[in-house]
Amino acid sequence: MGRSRRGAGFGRVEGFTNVVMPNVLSDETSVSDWQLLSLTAEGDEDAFRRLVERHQDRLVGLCQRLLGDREEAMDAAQEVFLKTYGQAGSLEPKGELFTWMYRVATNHCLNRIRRRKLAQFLSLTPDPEGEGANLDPADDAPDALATLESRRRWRKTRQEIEALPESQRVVLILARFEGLPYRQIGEILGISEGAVESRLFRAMRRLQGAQESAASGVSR
Amino acid sequence: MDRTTEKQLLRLLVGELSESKARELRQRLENEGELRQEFAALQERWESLDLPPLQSVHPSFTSRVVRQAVTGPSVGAVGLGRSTPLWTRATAAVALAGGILVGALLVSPSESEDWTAWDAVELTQAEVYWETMSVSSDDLVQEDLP
Repeated sequence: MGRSRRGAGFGRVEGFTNVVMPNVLSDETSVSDWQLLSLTAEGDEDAFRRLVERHQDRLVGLCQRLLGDREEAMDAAQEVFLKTYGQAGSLEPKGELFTWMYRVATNHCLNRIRRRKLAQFLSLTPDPEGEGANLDPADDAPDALATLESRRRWRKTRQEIEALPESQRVVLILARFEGLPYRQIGEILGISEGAVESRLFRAMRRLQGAQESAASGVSR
Repeated sequence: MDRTTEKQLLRLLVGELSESKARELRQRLENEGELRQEFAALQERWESLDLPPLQSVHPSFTSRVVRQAVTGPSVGAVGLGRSTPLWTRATAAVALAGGILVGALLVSPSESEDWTAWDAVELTQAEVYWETMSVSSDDLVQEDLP
């Protein structure tokens, strides 16, 4: 129960007690993120490539969940990597590099959402978020009915999440879909664990309220 | 039910409760029907949240990022470039064209002596719009979360 999502993909790296890295890298865990970044700062292109390969799936995934659009998520993740590259020589090896990248990605996506809303306000075009943008990933469902049902569920989830205030929305996504512990969410967002808990709690309460009013609307 | 217990249930659900506290709460769940019901509803709500599975990034993405990093941004990537969604660029273009068209319809050279002044007003509005659309992401990224 519960813990199943938590910490999935994370593991301790021997020799770097402060560094937590994805297990998917078990074949090359002898080199930490910080080491790769240090090599990048020295002009080692291959080190940067390895850093990108190591984190691209999760970063694009996070951006996609925040933005609701695959293409935009890839652009956002690219900008995060470029920022990482640009700051390779100046970043202090403190904590986990990935947490820093997550923080930059989260801020960057929130900025994009704000710009999107501004553009929408100025142009009066429909908000693609509200339409549940880009809900057509690779089709793994065995039949059409199941596919339809999945899409209905995804759209509903996206609508519910988008109805949340920004601060609660981010915490919910990081906790529910990224499976991150309160501590790490707090580090990413620069808030305390207590604040993470409160935001998640309020988000769940809001979802409950929304689901209850939707249910009462249907029964009426 | 009090707020503390509700938070404890959420902590249990997401795996944030210490082993001893989790054991304690599970014991209560066995004995208290209302608490059990509340936890089941919370769990159902949590698990009903579902988004599409994530796909692996295409290997060309890695090459693109590394190339961009090493060579720096291309000329086309400045301002409303590759990173700006197509619909945003299209909207900006339509708004700009609309502004120019409105300006052209409202003022013709024969009706206005001061044609250049009108032109300047339209251009200023358009510039403001383009400025808004091409805010540097680096500037924005520095902002703290609310």
